[in-house]
This record gives sequence, structure tokens and C-alpha cells, in this order.
Amino acid sequence: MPVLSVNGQSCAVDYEPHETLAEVLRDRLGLHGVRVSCGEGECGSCTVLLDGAPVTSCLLLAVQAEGREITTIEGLGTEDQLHPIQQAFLDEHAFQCGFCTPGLILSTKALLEVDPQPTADDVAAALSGHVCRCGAYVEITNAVLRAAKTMGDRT
Amino acid sequence: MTRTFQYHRPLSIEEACALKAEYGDTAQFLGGGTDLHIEWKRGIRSFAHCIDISRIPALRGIQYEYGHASVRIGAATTLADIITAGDVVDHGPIACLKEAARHMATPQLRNVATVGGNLCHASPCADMGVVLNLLRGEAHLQSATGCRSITMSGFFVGVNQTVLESDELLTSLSVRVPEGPTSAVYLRATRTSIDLAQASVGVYLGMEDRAVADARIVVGACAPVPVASAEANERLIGMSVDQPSENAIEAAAVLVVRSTSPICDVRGSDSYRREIADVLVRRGIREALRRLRVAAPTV
Repeated sequence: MPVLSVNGQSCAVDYEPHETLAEVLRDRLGLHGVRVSCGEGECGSCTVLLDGAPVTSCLLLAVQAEGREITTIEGLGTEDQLHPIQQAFLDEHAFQCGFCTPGLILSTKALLEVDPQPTADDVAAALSGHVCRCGAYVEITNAVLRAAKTMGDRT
Repeated sequence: MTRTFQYHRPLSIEEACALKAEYGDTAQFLGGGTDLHIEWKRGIRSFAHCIDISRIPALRGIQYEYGHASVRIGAATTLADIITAGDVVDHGPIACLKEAARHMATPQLRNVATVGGNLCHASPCADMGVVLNLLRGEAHLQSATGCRSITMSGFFVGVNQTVLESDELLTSLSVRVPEGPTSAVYLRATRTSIDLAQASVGVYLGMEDRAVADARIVVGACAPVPVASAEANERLIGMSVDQPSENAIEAAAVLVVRSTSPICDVRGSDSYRREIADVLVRRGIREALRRLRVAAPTV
């Protein structure tokens, strides 16, 4: 049986070659923080991290993720101790329906690892693969900048 | 019965070619899958065998080839790899590859999509196709029975059609590092993100004695394949780099746009594409001249 490494855990999970990573994460592993909307890699709601890099899981075969580290939103923080990015999104009200939020938070995590002090333009470029149908883009940008400051203050 | 395929993950080029030779047209190579997977999902394309070449070490990475004075890019190199490649890509006009890659798709897709995939899918909008044509790149192909190389200007033959035989694998691209002051620029008419180009233009210039000595303009998304015009290129030869002739720039733009045959579709009308291509060519030439002046300022 194939094995996927998800949020630091090795998971033995069965799937067919044609099945997408998004389907397997959601339907086999119950990780519903992975959202599927367009199904064609354009909206970004299915974004997960693969070896730390954001990818659209609806457009990846699960087999393509074998041997790589997969991070979903469930792997970030806990209810009692949110990740600073999650906290920043709450503090800046950076969502309405919340559907796009997990993907955005994961892309933000990847951005801040590479660029701890992004400008608003850097944020827009890094998050350009995400659609927020509720239009919370301004708040999202503020949240990312706020997270950058919080995380920067910690180091 | 569920529509599925058999998945193979070869670890060498030879293994991949052997698999393709065995399964022939029922097999499809997989780079990142960002185009292929959409076609699969939409039912446009089906295959019994999927040969994932993305983990073959020899197909990934960018190297400078001493002795050849050229840069070699593995076909399974992702667009993100190109963007984050260090000095190896920053050989004068070759840095234009980074510029083009930054325009493409989204950050998530760039982490997965490959140069080879962009070329082999051969969309008329394929940005890597325009840039590699612009830089006079060469495509290297391999099959179970041999290898061959082909210049990028001859790589595409139509919409989603390349010269690849059914048993051939695109293994790498190489671009010679030009001598002397040169510059290149890549521009697109497009929405800010995810969108394909309505029109795209690459301009490459070489200078000698403060005059244009080598010129190349390539237009993408305005014909089934990237388009260049020898006449348009000729028109720029001899033009002063420091005091360029607006007439020559305009004439070159008109000549190259005349060689295009854009379609009318949801992204734009044919007349709009011609109009915007003309604008991009002129902007591209001016910017390429500016980059030349920056690279080789008058003393």
C-alpha cells in the first residue's frame, strides 16, 4: 500500500494512479481543510505545501506526492495554539466565508520563509494564485504583513 | 470500470525511453502535469500508461556547459527552478528566461510545471517556446533508438504539435551564451495572474560599435506557432543604439505583425491581438535598447 507523509506522519493509504492528491487527502485521510473549487489549479483553494512549496493539490496526482512532505492547514498550529499566521488572519478579519483561507495561509507560510519582510507588492505576487470570492484581499494583505511583523519580532 | 492508467516512475532517461518504446501511443510522458492533468480531467486526452519523468535526475537542473559556452536546462526543470536559479541563468539575454517564467501561471503552478511540458504541450501561447526561439535555443530529443537535436525555430509545427516522434522524449534545452553586448526582453499582454498571453513578444538585440548588429523579434500567441520575420529583424540592423530611429522601430513592428495570423477567441479578437502585438514589439525594442545601453554604457 502506498505511503504518504502528511503533516509529519506516515500514512498508509490506498489510491488509484489517476486520483488527485486533493481527493486522497480529503476522502481517504479526512483532511477537509484541503478545499476543491475549480479543480484545475487556478483558484488556489486546494493549495497544500509539498516539501514546503505551495502546490495546487487538485492538479497533482497523489502518486506525484509520494516521498515528499505534505503539509495541510491541519498541520499548522492547534486550536489552543494557533500559528501566528492563523492568528494574524483572525486579527485582521482576513476572510468572510473562509473557503479560500487554508490555501492562503499555507502560501503565506511559504512566502514568509523565503521573504520574512515582504512588501504589499511582494504579497500580491506571492498570493497571485489565490482567488477570494468574498473579496477580502485588502484584509488578507494586512494579515500577511501583520504575520510578518509578529514572526519577525519573535526572532 | 473506472477510467484510470498505469503509472510508471523511471529513474533514468533510458528507462523512460524504453517504456515509451514498449507502450507507444498508449503512453504519455508526465512532467508536472499542469496541462496534461487538465486534459485528462476534461476527457480530452486518455492514456493507458503514464510515464512520470519528473524524478529523473538527468532531466532536472540548469548547468553552464564549459567548452560549449552554453546553458543547458533539463526538460523537467520547473518554472520555479528557473526563477530561483542563480548566476547560471544570468548570462546576459538568457536571464530573459526568468523574466518569462515569472509571467507564467501562478506560484503554485510554477512549482510543478516544467519547461519541457510547456514546450511539448505546444500551446500557441507557450511562453517558454517564444523565449527559447528568441535565444536561438536547441531542443535535445532522445528515444530508445537514438538522439537528435533541433533548433527551437523548427520545434513547433502547429497548434499542440511538435516535431517529436511518438517514441521521443525531450531531455534538455540548450542556449548558447552570446558574445559581445546583447540584451533580451520578454513582454506579455495579459491579466495580472494565471492568464495565458493574448500576445507576447520577445526581443533580442546584439550591439557592435554602438549600432544594432544582431536583431531578433519573436511574437507568441498570435499564430499557431511563435512567429519571427527576417525582414523585421533586418530592418533594425545598423540602427544606432544610443539614438534609435523611431521609423525603424515602427517599420520592424509593422513587418513582424504582418507575419502573424492571430485567432479571434474569448481572450481577444484578432484585430486586438495585432494591435497589442505592435505595441509590445515597439516597447520591447525600446526596452532591449535601454538594456543594451545599461549593459554597455558609453564611456
